[in-house]
Amino acid sequence: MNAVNIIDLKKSYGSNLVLDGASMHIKEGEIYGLLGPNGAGKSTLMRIILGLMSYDDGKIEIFGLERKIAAKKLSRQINALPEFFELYGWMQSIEYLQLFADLYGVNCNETRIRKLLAEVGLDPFERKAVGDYSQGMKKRLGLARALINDPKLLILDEPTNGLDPNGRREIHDLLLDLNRKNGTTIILSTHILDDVERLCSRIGILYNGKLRYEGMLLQNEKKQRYRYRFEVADATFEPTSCTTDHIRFIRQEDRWVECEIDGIAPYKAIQSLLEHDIPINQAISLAGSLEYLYFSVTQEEKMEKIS
Amino acid sequence: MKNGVYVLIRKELKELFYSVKGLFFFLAVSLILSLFSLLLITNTELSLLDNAQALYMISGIVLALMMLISVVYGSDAIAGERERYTLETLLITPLTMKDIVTAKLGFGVFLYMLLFAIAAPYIIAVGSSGQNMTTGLLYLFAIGLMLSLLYSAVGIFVSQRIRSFKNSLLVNLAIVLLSASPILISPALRQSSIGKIADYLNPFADAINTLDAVIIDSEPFSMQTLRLAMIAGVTLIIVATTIAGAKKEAL
Repeated sequence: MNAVNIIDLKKSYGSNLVLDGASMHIKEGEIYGLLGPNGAGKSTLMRIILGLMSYDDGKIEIFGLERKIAAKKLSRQINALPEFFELYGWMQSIEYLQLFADLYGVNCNETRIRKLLAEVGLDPFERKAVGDYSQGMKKRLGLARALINDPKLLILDEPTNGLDPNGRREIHDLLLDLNRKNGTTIILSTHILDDVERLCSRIGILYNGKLRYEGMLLQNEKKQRYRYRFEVADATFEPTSCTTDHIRFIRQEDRWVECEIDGIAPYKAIQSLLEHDIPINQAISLAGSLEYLYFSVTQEEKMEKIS
Repeated sequence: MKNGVYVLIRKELKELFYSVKGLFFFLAVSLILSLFSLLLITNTELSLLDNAQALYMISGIVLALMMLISVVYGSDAIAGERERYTLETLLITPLTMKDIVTAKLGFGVFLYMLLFAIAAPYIIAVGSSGQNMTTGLLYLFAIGLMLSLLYSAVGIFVSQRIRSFKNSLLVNLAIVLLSASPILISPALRQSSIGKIADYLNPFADAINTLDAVIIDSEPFSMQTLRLAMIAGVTLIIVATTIAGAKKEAL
């Protein structure tokens, strides 16, 4: 069963068409990465799913229920972490979470709240006024708030923005754990592709109000093109000699040669170059599969638009 | 399960008592009332007023102060939350926008009660030895309650539709000035039929005229029913419109 079905969704602000027939299908229990450049319509789409914004045309079903009709029931099963949010600075974290537990009508005692705070790494700061929290701490408390009602669908907008690498890793682990243990469906919108690669099983790329790509992340990798930079031992090396059916020469600067690998795994390409006696000292990946997919989808659209 | 409106009112009340904003509110109200009371008692000309006149004047000041506080609070209620990025997290919860507006209006009533509790000792101190003190205090409480609801509702209505607190406040202050302006025109004009109609239609003018009639002229309740009905009617219409027009999508 799909957790979210979005069919031909249209939304415009005056004459500005933000969503132009976007369709999306998110399966129950999956972590779905929503990607797209700034202004692609991601935030609008998420706000519509959350019921914070009306739409002009189309259909949204969440857990089989029409969004508009079952708004109240659905809002108890959904929670979200918006990109921009603030806390009530005069409160302490326990008080803040208790407020939202009460607003959701969930029976949440202090033990459960302390557990949530420990999960997001804020237990040592539970008595500190949240107004004194750093940006990263606020993000963690926001995430704890988003988990207060044990949501079946969790919508996260840039959840790791402002977090240090350790904090990011902890949030990743928390989300993966949540998804694994509770089967929580998560929609993750971010510009950090590393987050998507670590967390998401499927992705959708939104561009100019339409979903231009939707698919499994692992399947993409097989079809993907990679960009690598090789350092060769010999500066007089003839770069075109490395060109094969799967390896395309792009440019050379002194000993550094940039190539595109298409249709085979990078290690196989390197193996084939070494077999052809190309003196490779080191190889550096310039673009991961997802980054390349993202660029190819958004750039293709841009080129189509220009032409 | 706790009611969301009640939870939100409780949060607003806690904020009033625990935040710097709340402390500033109590301090400012006490300071303004202290200054005016002192002026009424010690100023050479003002101290010659009879007690009923002094009671009427301080009641008017309390009413104007309350109207101003209600409208500032209303302007901040939605636009301020939106600007501080705290509104969206509330709207994600099962609370509807109607719930939020109802809670904000409910807290507006508590705010008025607190203001009245602060003002009452000043009013009693200024008008204790004069006529109609108890009646005046009762009328002030009832009229003030309706006006505070009315101006909070006006403030919230504007605040929902205008995105910034500053602009919302400017529009609301203009509304306050407009509603207070008829009582500033000359008594001769106010006695004309158009002036009388304008006075009856304006809840703030009705409130001031009722206090004048009750405290100074000692008029009975039966002579105030039309004006009180007008204040109650306008309040009811504006409050209902504000709640009915509250939509999450307006975010």
